[in-house]
Amino acid sequence: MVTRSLVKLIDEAIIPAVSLICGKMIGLLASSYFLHLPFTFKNGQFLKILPSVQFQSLEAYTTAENYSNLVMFLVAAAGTVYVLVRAHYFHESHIHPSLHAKLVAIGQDWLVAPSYHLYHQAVIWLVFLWLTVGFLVLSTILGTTYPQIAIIAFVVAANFSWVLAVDIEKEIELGKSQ
Amino acid sequence: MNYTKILLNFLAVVLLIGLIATPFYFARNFAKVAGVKSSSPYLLVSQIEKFPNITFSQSSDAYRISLAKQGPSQAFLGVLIINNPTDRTQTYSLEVTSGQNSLFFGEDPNNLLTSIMAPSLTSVPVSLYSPEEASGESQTVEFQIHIN
Repeated sequence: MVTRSLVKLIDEAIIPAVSLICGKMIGLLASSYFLHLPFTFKNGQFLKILPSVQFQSLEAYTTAENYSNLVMFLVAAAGTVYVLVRAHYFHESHIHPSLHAKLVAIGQDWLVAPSYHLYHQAVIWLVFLWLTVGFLVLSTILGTTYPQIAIIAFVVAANFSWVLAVDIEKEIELGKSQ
Repeated sequence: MNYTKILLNFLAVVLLIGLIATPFYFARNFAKVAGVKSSSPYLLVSQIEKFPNITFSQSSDAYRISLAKQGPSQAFLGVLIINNPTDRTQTYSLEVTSGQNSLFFGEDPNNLLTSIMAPSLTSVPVSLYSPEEASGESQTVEFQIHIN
């Protein structure tokens, strides 16, 4: 009924979406706690039912926003790194036989994943990573995020995309040779 | 049968887009600066009651602050707060139309900012500086706020 790839993408999008929301919340609350930024919770402000965090001053808001956006980006980057490492070293199609044997010996062969699974996961994480970059750029334009964070995020996302492209290239070469 | 398939796939795409958009919608709206949403390009909040011998009044789009000087040069920090209740960054500028005193954004009397960019849902203090040249015991300053 529903395309298999679409179901797989939805399935793979749940964890990144929840992780990014948690990253943002933890970033906001941790920066407020450790930097002693005054804030209050106001009920019914977000989607008419959920509470929102309200800062008393522009400085406190900007500081908390910067740190929380950075944490959100780090979460997206960490997820992407995890998928890229798996795609590069634990890819079923080109994992080194001795590494595969070692993983089987220690019972960690669950790390080895097929292209179908890895590429769906990689696409989702990269979409989240690039959207986070877009969000940071937009926040920079609106004046709530330091431009340095957006620039670093862009460079990191571009490099991660390049690493995935290298892996896809390798996969295509393997497909041709078979 | 085909229509059901198209509909289900369409709904799946909508669900996927929703899942992807949710964290960013959340990130955009979860934290705010305390303030009120309004269609007005700015909200001016008076802090005058914290300062003795200062009065604040408004006539149309012109504002007036009257004060009794107690020293040759004085700065009154954060007498007003300007809040941007809109969903976009606004650039505000202060124009003194009458009086020898100056108004500036922020709280640094060594940096008299008369124009400032305020991101959406943020607040900026407005301070008053009365220089030595404004020598009368009773001073009045009239000003307007412009949006660029």
